[in-house]
Amino acid sequence: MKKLKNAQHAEPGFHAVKMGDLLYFEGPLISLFADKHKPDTYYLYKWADRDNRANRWLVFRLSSRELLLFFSAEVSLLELLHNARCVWVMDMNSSLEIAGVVSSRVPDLPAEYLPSAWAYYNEAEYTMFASVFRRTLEKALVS
Amino acid sequence: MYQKDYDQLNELCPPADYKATKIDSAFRWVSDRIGDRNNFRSQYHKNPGRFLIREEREKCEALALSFFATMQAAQKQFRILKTHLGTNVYRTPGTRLAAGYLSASDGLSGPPDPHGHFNHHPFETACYAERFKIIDTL
Repeated sequence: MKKLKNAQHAEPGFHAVKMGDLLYFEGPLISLFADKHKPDTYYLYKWADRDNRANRWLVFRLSSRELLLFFSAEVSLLELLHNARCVWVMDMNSSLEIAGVVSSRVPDLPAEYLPSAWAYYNEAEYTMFASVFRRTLEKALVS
Repeated sequence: MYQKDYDQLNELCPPADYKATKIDSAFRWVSDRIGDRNNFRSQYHKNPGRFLIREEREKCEALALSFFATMQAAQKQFRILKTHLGTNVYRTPGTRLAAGYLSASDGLSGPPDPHGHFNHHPFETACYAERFKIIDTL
């Protein structure tokens, strides 16, 4: 695992429920969760790293409006991350238990963890769940 | 196939349209050593922790190996993951592209999706490393 700069021990303090995977290859790589208690609060879990002990995920909060901007390719995945300012870096062990969580400012994250500036949503590259969720979100925000 | 893993599933796995068939040309992402035992192990067996919650429906897919029907499809899919995940993507699926063939006795293969990717559920006796060679870096 890459070393983290200026990371602070953190308690996530939210209860997230998995909605589906946006990017998948032999397992989830970017997944969408919703806050169980706060309406219009979502979390993206983006795979970032691994070692023999755990897989590391970047977790950051966003609203349905931000999600829609991403789904309409008006903002990139990197911009979403920067807009979040602070992310949780969550290590999950092989029993899928949280082995450690720290918070980090996005500029302090290892560059290898960040998507390219060209990481825009593309329906052909993302999952069927992403397409369906995007349409659901569009309908909900228009009505 | 690792029968005990499949026996634990409630759904039909592999799906009914998977067939034991020879595939003359197949491509897979591997590490820099073709003999690495993880190269042809399913995600479920080599990195069971790369999931976020335990879901029955995910396990069937996680027991399969991913292959591509063409070199171009394999390279394009890797570029997509690298764009969205960052350069650390090399730490999960591999760093090299290997080419070879699948024989009918290797396992059950599904039809390729529109992006040229297909899943293959291996039999326990399959020995891919002897028939696959690294042809490029990813």
